[in-house]
Amino acid sequence: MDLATLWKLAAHWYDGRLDRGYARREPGQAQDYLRSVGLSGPFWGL
Amino acid sequence: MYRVFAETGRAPQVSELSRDLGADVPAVAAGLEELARTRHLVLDEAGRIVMAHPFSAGPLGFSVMGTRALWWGGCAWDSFALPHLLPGEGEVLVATRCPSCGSPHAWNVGSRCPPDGGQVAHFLVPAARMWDDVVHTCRNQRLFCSGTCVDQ
Repeated sequence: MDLATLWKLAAHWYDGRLDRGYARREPGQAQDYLRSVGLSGPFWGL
Repeated sequence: MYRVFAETGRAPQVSELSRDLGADVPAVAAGLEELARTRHLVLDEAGRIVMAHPFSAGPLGFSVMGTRALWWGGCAWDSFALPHLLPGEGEVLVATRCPSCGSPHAWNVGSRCPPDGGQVAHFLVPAARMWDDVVHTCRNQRLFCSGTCVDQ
């Protein structure tokens, strides 16, 4: 992937990680996030 | 734990967490084991924190330099995530070498827009298998000069 896609992938993946009570995404939410940054295909489970 | 990583670039020791949390060392160690079992972090054989994504306790191919600290980036994904996560840092300097030819690369990475560059990220392990050996996975999520270097 190009730098722009990598940056988009990284931008909000860890949102809230430093906050108390952080909750990891459910699998469906993770897939929605990956699609939202332009990823697709079996490598990403999409 | 994440606060120590964010503020210092290093993993906290169990004794440090014990003091900060007001809990005894066995309780802290058990808590870390549970976090590792549920894939929130990675421990080594001695129970020390190896990774707490996006932070790494040791080199996996990337350095991330901020205004106050120097972090090991866990991988390309984690390195690019750090400026979005670290309060007050603005842009950070992400540096690495192409795993194929050894050429050095560095970018100012911030939270407003992607950095310029024709380099490509290559991820070796499919998403469904990433936690089979997440250190191996992260060690192989790298930035290359180009598709040609990826193919070599």
